[in-house]
Amino acid sequence: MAYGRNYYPDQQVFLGALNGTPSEIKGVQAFDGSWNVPYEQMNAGGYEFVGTEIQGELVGDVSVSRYIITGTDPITGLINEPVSGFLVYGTQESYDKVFNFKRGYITSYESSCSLGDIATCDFGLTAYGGIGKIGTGSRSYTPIEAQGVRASDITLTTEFGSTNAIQSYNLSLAFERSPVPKVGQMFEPIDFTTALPIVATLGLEVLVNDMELENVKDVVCSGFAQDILIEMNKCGELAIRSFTLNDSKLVDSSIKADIGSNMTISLTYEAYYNSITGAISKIMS
Amino acid sequence: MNFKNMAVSISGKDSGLTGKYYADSITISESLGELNFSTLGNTSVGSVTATAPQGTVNLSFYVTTGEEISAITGHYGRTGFIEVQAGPFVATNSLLDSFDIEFTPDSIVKGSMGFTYFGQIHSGSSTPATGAPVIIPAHGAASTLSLQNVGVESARSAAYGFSQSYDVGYSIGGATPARVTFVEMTKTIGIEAQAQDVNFNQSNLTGTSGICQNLSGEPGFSVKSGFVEIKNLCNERVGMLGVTGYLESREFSAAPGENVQQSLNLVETSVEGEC
Repeated sequence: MAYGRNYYPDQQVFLGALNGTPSEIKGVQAFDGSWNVPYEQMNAGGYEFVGTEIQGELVGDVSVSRYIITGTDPITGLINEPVSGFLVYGTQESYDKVFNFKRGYITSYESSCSLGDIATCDFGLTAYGGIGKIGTGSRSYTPIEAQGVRASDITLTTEFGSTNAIQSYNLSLAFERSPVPKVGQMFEPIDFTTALPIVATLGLEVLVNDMELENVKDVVCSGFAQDILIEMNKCGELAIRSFTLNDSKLVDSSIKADIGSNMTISLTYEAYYNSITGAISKIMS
Repeated sequence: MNFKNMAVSISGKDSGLTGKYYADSITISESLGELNFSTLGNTSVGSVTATAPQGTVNLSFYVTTGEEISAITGHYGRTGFIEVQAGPFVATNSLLDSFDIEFTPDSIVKGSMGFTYFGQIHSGSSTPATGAPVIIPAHGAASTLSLQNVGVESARSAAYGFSQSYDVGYSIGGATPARVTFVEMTKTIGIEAQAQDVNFNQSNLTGTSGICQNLSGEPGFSVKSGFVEIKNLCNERVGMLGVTGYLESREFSAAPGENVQQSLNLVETSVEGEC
C-alpha cells in the first residue's frame, strides 16, 4: 500500500465560540498544534522509581499564521471568550481526519509586515478542555475573493514617518490567562483570570533620513508618547483593516550604523489597556 | 546505603495496625537532654543524662491505599506505642504526633506524618525490596471535597490536618516512659476558595447575636462537617477523611490579576482518647 500525504489543499482550520459552530479561518499559512503531559517521576524509599503520575495541567497550544486577505477578522470577536475549533485534513481532500481543541483562550494576536511581503495576522491559543482527536469536524467551504495586503497597501502614520522610511512593523498583543482549577475538577477548569493591563507592543524598523533619538533622561516626568495608526487599504483605497495605538509609550530604541548598510533605527512602543474588550475596541476599531 | 534501602513501615504494638509507605522524604532526628552540674571546691563539670534520648521521625509519602491511611487514623487518641521503621532504623516506642494531607487540583496527593519516639533509635540492616512496584497515587484532580453547611461551592485547594498531644511520664529508675496519657487531638480541614464561590453568610464565624450557638445547618457558629474522598486518577477510592466541628477562622486576600481569595478553617477538637 502506498503512503499518501497531506498537503495544503487537504487542510482547513475552523474556529468558533465554545458552544457555537466553528467557521473556516481564511488566509491560513501554517497551523501548529501541540500538547505534552507533565509527568512527575516518583521515587519512594525502599524502591526508588515507582512510576509516573500527572503533576500539572493537561493543556495544549495552537498557533495559526495567516495572511490578511479579507476585510473582516473573526478572531477579534473571539478573544474575550472561550473557543473551540479544529484542523481537518485527509489525503486527496478527503477531510476525514481531525485535530480538535476545546475550551481554548486566545493568548496572542500579532500582525506584521515588511517591505515586499504580504501583511500577516497570527494568533495563538491555549486549550484547556482537550486537544487532539476529540470528535469529528463538520467542515464547509465558502469561496472568497482574496485580497492580499502588501506593504505598499499600508499607510503608517507616525510623527517621523513622513521624512523617514519605515521598513516594517510588528504589532503584538498578549493576553495572559490563568485557569483557576478546583479540587476534583479532573483537569477541566471553568474559571479563568486575566492579567491586566493588556499590553500592545509595536516594533518599527526605520531607514534614517533626518531622525534623531530622544535622550533617555528626558523621559523623566514626561515620557515619549505618540499616536500611531496602521491602515491597510486595498482596491482603490478601500480600508480593510486598521490598528490604532493612541498614547503609546516609546520603551526601547536603538540606532545602528555600519559600512555598506543604510542607517536604521528600531523603535518599540507599548500601549496599555485595562480590559480585553477595551484593548480590542481601541486598537482594532 | 542510599534511598533505595529506606523502606518505611509502622506497626502498632497494641493496636496491631500496620502500614507500609512509599515515602519520598524521610527525616529522623534525636537529641539528649543533659544535666550538667558542678560541686563546691571543684572546677570540673559533671554531666549526666536527664532523660533517655528522644527523637522525631517525619516523612512525606505518596498516598496509594486505604490501608496506609487507616494505619494512621487507627492511632488517633491511642496511647499504645508504635514501632516505626525507616530502612535499618527502628524507633520502637513511638507516638503519632501529626498527619497532614494536601489536595490541590492538578497535583499528586502526598501525605506527611510525624512521630515522637522515646529511647534511642536502633539500627540493623536493610536490603532494598526486590522488584519495583508501579504505584497509582491519589490525585487532587480526582479527589472530592464535600462540605455541609460551610457555604463553599468549590475549592481551589484543601488541606486535612491532624495533631495530638500526650503527657509522657517517667518513673525513678526507669529509662523508658512509664506512663502515657492522651491530652488532646485536633482535626482540621483548611479550604482555599475564590470568595465568589463561598456564601458569605453561611461561612460567618458567629451567629446572629454574635454570641449564641446556632442550630446545626444554620449559618454562623453551628456544627459543620467536611469530608475529603481521596481518589486516584483511575477514579478508584483510596480513603475518606472527615472533620465535624466549627469554623474557627476565615481570611480574605486580594492581589493583582487574581479573584479575591477566601480561606476557611474547620476545626474539630477532642480530648477523648482510647478508653
